[in-house]
Amino acid sequence: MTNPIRIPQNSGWWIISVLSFLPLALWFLAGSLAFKFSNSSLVFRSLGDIFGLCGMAMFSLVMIISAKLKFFEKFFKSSGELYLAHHVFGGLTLCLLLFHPLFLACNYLSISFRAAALFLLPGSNWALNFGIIGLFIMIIALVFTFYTKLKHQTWLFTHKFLELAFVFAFLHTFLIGGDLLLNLPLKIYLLVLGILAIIIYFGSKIWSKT
Amino acid sequence: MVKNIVTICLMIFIIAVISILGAAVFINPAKTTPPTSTTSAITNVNNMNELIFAADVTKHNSAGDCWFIISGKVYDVTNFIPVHSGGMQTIIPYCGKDATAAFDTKNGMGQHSQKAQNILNNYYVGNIGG
Repeated sequence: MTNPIRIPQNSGWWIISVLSFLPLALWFLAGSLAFKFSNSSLVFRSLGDIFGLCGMAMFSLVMIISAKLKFFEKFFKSSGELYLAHHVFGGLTLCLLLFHPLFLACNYLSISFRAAALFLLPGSNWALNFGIIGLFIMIIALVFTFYTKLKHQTWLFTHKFLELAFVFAFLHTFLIGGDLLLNLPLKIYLLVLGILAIIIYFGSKIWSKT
Repeated sequence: MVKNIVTICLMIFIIAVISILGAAVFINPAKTTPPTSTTSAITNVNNMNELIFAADVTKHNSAGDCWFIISGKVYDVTNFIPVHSGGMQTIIPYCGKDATAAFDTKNGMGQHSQKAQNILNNYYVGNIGG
């Protein structure tokens, strides 16, 4: 009687996977696929877009589950497995977001090496700079997570920088413009996920302190 | 397992970034793709005073062969479409047309930077001559 709706215990893994790759479906449905893959430059651009969109969706979901709400534990076997999902999807998020600028830089190689290099470096475009800063913070913070053995409190402090990385990534996603602005369902989906992540994650932090 | 995947991705990222930055420094920085078009009779126009008929520009009206006019000058932006930071779909509707107002007002959203003007100059193919 206490739990009328039974949630399969491993469904969390599937839900996060599907929600993370849903932007892929929305991206495929909008516009001509033949055009998106019609030449090598467009292939790189398309791959860059896909990795960025899925990476941002997964980043939002990782932030949401890291709020450690009891409700999320229902979707996993235990709180330990929820933590494991956070760890696995967090690592995959970094991988997706690392390839996002790489593919876009390959796209710029059609102009010149210089154009590709300038794209990877901070410049006058602040929307782009937010993305570069966010990814840089994320790389540093996750290097500490994966490759160092720090005291728990120190590790926790380094991990907190991922909040900053998320805010920069969120700003980058919606200020960069491009085709995302013209794909309304995709824009709304990522906006909702991002705002949910901010509300749930930061809300839970504030709630736990009061 | 996750750590291994992250390590591989990080290694690829670092090697690729260093390669691109290194290539930009050591390989001829002036390597810029000249404007090209597969269907046009007026290709590889190097003469800056080349006159192009408006009717010819209208033939280059697709994403795979895109010319447009800005302030009386003709640009072949076919190779630029995939790298336009404002998105591909904001350029494509102007292929084969006069895009002066759209460029000057950034499609009604502001003004392009001087950097954007300089990039545009790389794709100049001639002036409108009739």
